[in-house]
Amino acid sequence: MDFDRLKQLFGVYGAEPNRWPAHERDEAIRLRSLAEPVDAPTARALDDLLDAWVVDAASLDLRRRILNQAPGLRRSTWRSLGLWVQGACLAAACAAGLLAGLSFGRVDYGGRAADRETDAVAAYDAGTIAAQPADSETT
Amino acid sequence: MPPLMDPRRTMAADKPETIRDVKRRPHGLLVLRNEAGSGQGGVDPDGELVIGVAAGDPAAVRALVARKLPRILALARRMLTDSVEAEDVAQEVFLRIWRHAGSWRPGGARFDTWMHRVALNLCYDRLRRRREQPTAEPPEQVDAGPAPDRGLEAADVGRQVEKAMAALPSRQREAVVLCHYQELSNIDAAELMEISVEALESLLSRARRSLRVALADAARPR
Repeated sequence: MDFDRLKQLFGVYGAEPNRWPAHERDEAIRLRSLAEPVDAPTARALDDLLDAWVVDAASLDLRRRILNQAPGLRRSTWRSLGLWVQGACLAAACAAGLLAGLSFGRVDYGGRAADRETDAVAAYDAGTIAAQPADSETT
Repeated sequence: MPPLMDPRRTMAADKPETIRDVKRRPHGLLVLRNEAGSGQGGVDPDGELVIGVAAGDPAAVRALVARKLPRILALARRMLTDSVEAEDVAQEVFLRIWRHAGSWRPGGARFDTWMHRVALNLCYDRLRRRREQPTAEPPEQVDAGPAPDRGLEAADVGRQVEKAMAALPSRQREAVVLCHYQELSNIDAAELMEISVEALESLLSRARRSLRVALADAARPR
């Protein structure tokens, strides 16, 4: 390797030796220790600028979507789906029980109400019957 | 269905060796040799994870996602300069990994190189579609120019770099993304781009010259 090639490495790959071709790296580092090309600071500055472009990390949602498609985790998806179904069934059973309870309650309450209504009518009738003779006496 | 190690080829009549065909080494680990393709040789660092994924091991799946998702997302984001499209590409890449992990065969290019190729192909599909269906108005570019009386903040520099990168010809941008940001070797990058190393160096050299000019205000040699 000569200094022209070293200068070329800076211009092509930048100032970071890890980006230089593996088979030339050691020799290039040795050569650079003797004399750094004049373009080296410019190459280093451009490297720093390029590194300033940082992209956003992967969102949790994207990670979740990818994992949900994965072969080893699909079972987990089905399992969680099964849990959802079980939960839904339980909720439905509770709702049915509640409705049934309310329904029976209404019948019971209605029955008692009917009884009370019957009693009231009977009492009224009884009162009426009791009052009627007096009325009939006056008429 | 294309084999995992070369998404551009259709599966030939000769059935590729699958991961399950790889024999166990005496020390108990499945070792995938990279005997051809990348020019780097040695054990594929992702080989065992890919085997785990093929076997449906949830831990391997999670580890592969943790290791590779940031790289793939960054690649797509920098190639497409669009976060939503980049996420779509990343998801599609992993979908293909899940589908083809079982047919991964050692001896070809590294898994990471294959994954990059899939991602790049997807990116180019989208870039091609953009050209074929031009929008009525180009996407609004945020003016990243700094105020004259102050230096560039880090975010401003990042936006300027993004703008300068987006203005590069696509092949030059691809070369910079692969070599600088993805830190692929020149041989892997050249292989991915299906060009010689000399051609890759020419692209990189021109790209860096253009970037220096575009970022002249921000570039301050130290």
